[in-house]
Amino acid sequence: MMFKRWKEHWPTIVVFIVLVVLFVGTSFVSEVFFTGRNLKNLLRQAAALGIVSTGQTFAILIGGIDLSIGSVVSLTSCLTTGILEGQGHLLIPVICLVIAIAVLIGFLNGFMITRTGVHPLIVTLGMMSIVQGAVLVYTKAPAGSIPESFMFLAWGEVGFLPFPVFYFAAVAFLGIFVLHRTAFGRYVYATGGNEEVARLSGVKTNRVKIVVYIISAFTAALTGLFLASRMGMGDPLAGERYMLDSIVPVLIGGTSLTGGKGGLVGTLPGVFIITILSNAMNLFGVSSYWQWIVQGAIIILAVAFYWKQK
Amino acid sequence: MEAYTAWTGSRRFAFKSTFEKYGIYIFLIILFIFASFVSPAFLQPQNLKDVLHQAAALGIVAIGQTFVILGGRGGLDLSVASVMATVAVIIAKNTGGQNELLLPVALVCVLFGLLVGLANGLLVTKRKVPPFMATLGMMIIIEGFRFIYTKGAPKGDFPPILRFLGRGDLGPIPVSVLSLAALTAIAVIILRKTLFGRQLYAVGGNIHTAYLSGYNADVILTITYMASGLTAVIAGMYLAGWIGIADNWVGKGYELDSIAAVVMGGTSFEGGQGGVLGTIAGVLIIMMIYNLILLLHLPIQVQYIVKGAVIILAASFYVRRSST
Amino acid sequence: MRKVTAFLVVTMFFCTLTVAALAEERQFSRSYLWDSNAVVMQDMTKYKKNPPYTIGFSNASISNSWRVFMDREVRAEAEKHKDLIKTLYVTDAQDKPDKQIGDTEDLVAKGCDLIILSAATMAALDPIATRIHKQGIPIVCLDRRVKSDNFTSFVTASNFTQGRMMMLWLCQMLKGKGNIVMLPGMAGAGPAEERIIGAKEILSQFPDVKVLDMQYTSWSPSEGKRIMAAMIQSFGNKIEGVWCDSGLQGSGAIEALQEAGLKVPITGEDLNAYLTRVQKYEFPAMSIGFPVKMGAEAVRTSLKVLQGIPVPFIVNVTRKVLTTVDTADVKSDQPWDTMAHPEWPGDWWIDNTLPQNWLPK
Repeated sequence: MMFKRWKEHWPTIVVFIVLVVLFVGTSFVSEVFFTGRNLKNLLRQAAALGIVSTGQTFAILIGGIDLSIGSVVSLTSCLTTGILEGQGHLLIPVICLVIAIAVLIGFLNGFMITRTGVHPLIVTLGMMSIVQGAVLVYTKAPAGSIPESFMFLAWGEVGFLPFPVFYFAAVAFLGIFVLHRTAFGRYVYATGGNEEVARLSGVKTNRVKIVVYIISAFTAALTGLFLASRMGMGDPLAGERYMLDSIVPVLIGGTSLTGGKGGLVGTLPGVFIITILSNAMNLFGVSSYWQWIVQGAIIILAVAFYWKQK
Repeated sequence: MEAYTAWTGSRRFAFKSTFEKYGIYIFLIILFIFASFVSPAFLQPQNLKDVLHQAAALGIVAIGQTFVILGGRGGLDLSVASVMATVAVIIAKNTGGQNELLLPVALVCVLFGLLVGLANGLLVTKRKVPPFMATLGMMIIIEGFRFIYTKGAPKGDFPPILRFLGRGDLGPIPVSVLSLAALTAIAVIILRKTLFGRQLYAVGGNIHTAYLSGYNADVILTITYMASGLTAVIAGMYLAGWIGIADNWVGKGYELDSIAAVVMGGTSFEGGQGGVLGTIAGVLIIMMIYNLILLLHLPIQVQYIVKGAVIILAASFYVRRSST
Repeated sequence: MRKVTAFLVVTMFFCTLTVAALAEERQFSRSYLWDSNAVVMQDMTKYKKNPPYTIGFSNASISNSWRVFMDREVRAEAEKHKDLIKTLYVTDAQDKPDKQIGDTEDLVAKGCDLIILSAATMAALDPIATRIHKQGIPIVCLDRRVKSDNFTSFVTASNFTQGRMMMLWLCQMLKGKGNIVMLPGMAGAGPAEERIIGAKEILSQFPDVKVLDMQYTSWSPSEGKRIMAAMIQSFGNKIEGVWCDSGLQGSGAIEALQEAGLKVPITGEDLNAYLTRVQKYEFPAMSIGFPVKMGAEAVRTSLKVLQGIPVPFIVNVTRKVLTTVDTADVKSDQPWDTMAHPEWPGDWWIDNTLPQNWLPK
């Protein structure tokens, strides 16, 4: 029994081992790495990727994918700063508004995927294009500004820890709670594992899917808000990188693209592996062309390693 | 399609299939008529020629992409655009604009494309890496090596023959379009008339049945990735010949456009369903939309929105039919 | 007498040397010459440090040849000052604004004495630049600045000026009347939008110059050619001029024009592919450089900062204007043919100061 459980969690354990090895190794090689200042930077850098990957994990768990995540990040960051224009009293209504818009986009994604049966890759690719167009309708140049108080989200510190850590931790904790402690979480795994069986056993799979895409758009909105705070200005191209970047930690963390296997417990160390690697390569002064190659190799190696285990 | 129907003998496709088969072409024709009504410039022969010229490279990539997606298992190839750009810089640097060097260098490029395809295929089949990740990783790695190879500033020139292939005409028809037509014909024959084609549909349709029938699914899937590498090389050469400048990003965006074209053309990610002709229709639709948006002088935002909407619409148009 | 003669000869010899040396001196930045308001000399004594220095260069990307050349200018210049600069750390954000925030934090963590920042977007890097500036670490912005004034100096060539000069030449070529097509860079990218703003300022002074259409080209030669071809189909001979904000799409557009037999005035930059195609197809054309050598200038400015020597707040580097036909206000700095080099790669930026061994080969 014990052994079986161990085997089941083997991929997650491996990611943690890799993370620890990477962390310890880098601390030994670079004297700058294991300093309070650098670690704080690291945590701050991990937050945006971490939050957006949390949502992507849900999408991938049901056997889908969400490519529109990046443009939703751009949209929310632009809308937030553009409407706020530095006015502190508008903060709460604006946050509610952008989250509502993101939820709507997520709903549309889910609705189209379940109603038309088109592959999520294509629906969300199309949605990405549409939302990116909408962002450019709103503004073509970086725009807006934020009130001083909103800066706290990205730059504030609680005690000796940067505030983004708590923001990220809250999102991650909520995600893990939903996945592992609620009925909805079980439905997500069931839908991803075998949709037909799930449907026959009474799970409303279409509804589960729609909610999952809403969740992934919601986390994109949270990331957009975070970036708005971090940059102080909305940038119509800010989220572009997350279209593909958000997928990498999820898959490194052992969540299978076919759905139903894996989870946030693997994604989180995945996020830190990516962030530490980028940080370490900067500290070692690795040429950026080689950084690309290392990135690509890690994606392939990490995943190749996992899939062989099955 | 015929091969597929014949192979499976499935009832599902009996009557509706005739209608469903032509959905994408109907869409294409409607778009064509619509375009010629809203923009007088659209029907000018030179404009149609321009559209076809530009469609050639995307069409060639999309042929290989169709093979990969037909193989099922969520197969797709994100590394094609990277291969295209790399081919362009290799040819420019090593031929230095001399015709006689084109053939040997082109052969090297073909070898390169096949190797990339082989690597993708082996990762997917032997190491069971999801195609999305394998080809994404490959894309990033090739990009890195390309920049190390060119140091960021590609040099050299394209031989006149390549420029002729990319932008010349044979009689009234562009050479690149003739090549696309030839490659399409070859692909159709391979898919419909050869054992490999039947096996590919079988593997894509139901991998377990295919195993039982004694096919080596791994070999077939690997070949599809190699085919995709090969078509990416050819497309890279045509596109390079068309622009005439060794740019770092020749073919940027072709990976997603080609996938969109394939899916619009009715090849599904489940595999084993669809074909090359639909893909070509998908390519023409995408290129006509790009052209029409320019002819109507719509701003950039509209381009994004229309493109996204049409991708979803066209794909759902098809899937809806097959699921009802 | 002989002593006096000898003294005079020696003096003259040295004077000639000095004059020769002065003549070889770099051109003055135009900000010193043209706009005295722009020269706000900043006191740098508070940043004065003893060499050797550690300098960090946070680059937005090296994904196109312009950025590669600029990156090399920085490295080559740093190598020239090996005695002063102990280490130069370079990071590449791969066009990702928030990766660059992290990169810049990493550079500070490594203990750099000064940060050279080529911002991916002026918005995204502003908070981090502000923070570093407040910590007392000097920041020299390069090519693209940050939104606020919280940096030490900004080394650039104005995008607004670039848009203006291009449009001015085009409008004067058309004698103030005609139809043009505008092909800017990438929607949402700062430099593209700034060049459009500059161009439109000039355009407002020429009411009879009509913009038939404006389409973004993503700074890609193939997009430039594709879009230009469609424009030609849609407007035909009505097109009397083409405004491209860069040589990248310019080199593609010019080929589409040539294939259609439309020889109309076109604008671009000192990208060799553009310069040589203009020369080969004999187009009336204009080019204003957005010089890669600003990278070297940024290193020189940084050294001044660290040595406590005052520097201007905005350093406009010298840029070359080339035309095949001069107009009243836009004249060629040197003949076009001396800048176009058909034997060199098309992706090279001609107005560079890179030593032979630093050219990307």
